[in-house]
Amino acid sequence: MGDWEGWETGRWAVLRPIAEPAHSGAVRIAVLVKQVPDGELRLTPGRTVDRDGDGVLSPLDEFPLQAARTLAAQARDRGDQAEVIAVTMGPPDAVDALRSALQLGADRAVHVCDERLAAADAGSTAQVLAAAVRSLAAVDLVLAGAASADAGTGLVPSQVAALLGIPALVGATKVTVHDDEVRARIDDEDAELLMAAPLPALVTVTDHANPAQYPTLREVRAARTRPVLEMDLDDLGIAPPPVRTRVEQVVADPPRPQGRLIHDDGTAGLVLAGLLRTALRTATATAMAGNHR
Amino acid sequence: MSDVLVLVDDLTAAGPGTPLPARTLHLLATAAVVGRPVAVHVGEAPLGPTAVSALAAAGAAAVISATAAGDPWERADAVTALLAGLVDERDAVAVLVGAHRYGTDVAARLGVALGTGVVTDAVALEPDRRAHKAVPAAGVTTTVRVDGVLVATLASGPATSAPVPPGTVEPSEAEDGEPTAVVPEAVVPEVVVPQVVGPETAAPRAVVPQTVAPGAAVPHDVVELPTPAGAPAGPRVLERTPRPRTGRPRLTDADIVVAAGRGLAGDLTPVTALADAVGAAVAGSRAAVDAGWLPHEAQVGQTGTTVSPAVYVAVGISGAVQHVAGMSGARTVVAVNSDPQAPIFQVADLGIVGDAFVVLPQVVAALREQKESSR
Repeated sequence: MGDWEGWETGRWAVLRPIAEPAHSGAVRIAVLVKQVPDGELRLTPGRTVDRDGDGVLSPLDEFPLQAARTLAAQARDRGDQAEVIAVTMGPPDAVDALRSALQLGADRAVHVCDERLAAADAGSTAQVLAAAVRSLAAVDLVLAGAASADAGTGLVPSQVAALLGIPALVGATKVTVHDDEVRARIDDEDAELLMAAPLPALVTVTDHANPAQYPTLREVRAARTRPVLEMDLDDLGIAPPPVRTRVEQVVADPPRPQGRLIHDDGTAGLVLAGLLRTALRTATATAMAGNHR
Repeated sequence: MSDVLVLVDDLTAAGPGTPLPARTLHLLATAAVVGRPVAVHVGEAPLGPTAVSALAAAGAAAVISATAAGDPWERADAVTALLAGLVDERDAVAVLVGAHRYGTDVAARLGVALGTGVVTDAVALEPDRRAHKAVPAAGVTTTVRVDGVLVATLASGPATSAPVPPGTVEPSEAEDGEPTAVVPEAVVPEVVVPQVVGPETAAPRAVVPQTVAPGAAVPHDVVELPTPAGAPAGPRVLERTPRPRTGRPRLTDADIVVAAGRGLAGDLTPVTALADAVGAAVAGSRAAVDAGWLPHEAQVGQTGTTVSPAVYVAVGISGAVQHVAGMSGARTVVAVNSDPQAPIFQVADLGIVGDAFVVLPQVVAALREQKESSR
């Protein structure tokens, strides 16, 4: 089990950092991607996201892929080597998401596919992806989308970083690499930030970053010949990670009561003013009650 | 009763006399459902007596005040270690943080540190390590049970009422439509002042005992923050440019949100005028944000902020499913759109088919008139 000791105690040991960047200039970027259902989100009887049927590369993953492609192109322009590796965990047809990633500029792909992972949650997914990134060796930068377009917990990237013991910058709108550090522009709630972290590091990229450039026919063709390495848990040398969240119950939201629809005849504004007035009175009353408790 | 740790907003940053953010009230009220809320505050300075009393009045049974230099984003690891240590020390059953980006990052790390499951965007907690989570994209609310300590991020909600999860409210309460606020008795807080020992703060600062209500016993304690084991050099904030204050409430704190969409064609005047007339926050759809009419953080939806105000007024927003996912928790949804076929009308409690540039100014005028006549 090596680096994974500590599971039994319920504490996941923080893994040692992934390999130090061995070579200045050259850059190896892993991009974590995910296949999501195409169309409406459905749950299985087992209360997980229904992944049967057509899936697509999560649209939000196009942004980290584009950031990776740009960084790789910059490195190559400097005469350095660069490699972009798309990594996913998912059922057999998740390979389609990897094919899309290859068309969007990834040089090769890793598909962790193992039926023992069928009920994986964010925590167990993060463990598997962290192991997959470690298996690549000498990764300088891990990129991921800011959230997946289905379950959308947004937990996995931060957990992968924590498991790999590398810093994370979350919510980047722009990513650049300067020598041995990565920099990210981040729109936070109350401020705009410029953050930096020493490589190796993980950065999540939002949908406010540059959108993906659509592949040319030549790139689509080239993508067909790029390798996809399929791995299972045995290849990664890890046991199935524990699943620590369980959906016990799913209750359909009550249908919203039929709303009132009015066509403005010159008085609609007065109706809305009345509604807002009532809301303001309620808010004030509650705030005052709060002050007296 | 077991402790529930609540990571509250930095109250020192806002300046003295600022009321508690609505989401802090919401966190404490939600935590009180399953245990004894312990407010954990991390800021540049320990909390003053006013802030401690305010937290106590909002339901905190204890306040832990950790001081730390530097930017919050530089110490997510240290805050995680602080929380993990406190969970062990106090045998806490749950940790609750806000569902904003920072809270989600801390919750994710805490899940790894504690070897436990994390529930994101919870709308309520239940005893025995359960949380309710709304999944608007699938039109369902799920009950999730976690092995180990429950770590959850709480979706924003109206501060004035706890959200109503399935199965926790008596039918009589649900029927009368009154907000089911969970208002625990105010308790005399115990104040503990540990220190976040950052990499550069070798010598611990003097701990200033807090004064609270006269006669209150105020135990205080210095907790050494464990430096995360083997942590490499972490992230640094090179520049922090605060956004100009608009004078409007924060999106997640507002009772009323007025949101602009593509239909406004770049002129947001009616939306901002209405927002200011009712003290609302201004938000936007992805289209409005992508067009540059509003900053990124104003975006409501699947890839933006999720809001649950008392009233959400969608103006010129068609109602794509990604947008609705971010606002379907609103108690009342109002839509103003010139297209009677706009999908937003399907989720609106009040739909107005009309021209926003006519309807909204009329609303502002009517509210102003009423205000003046009531003087």
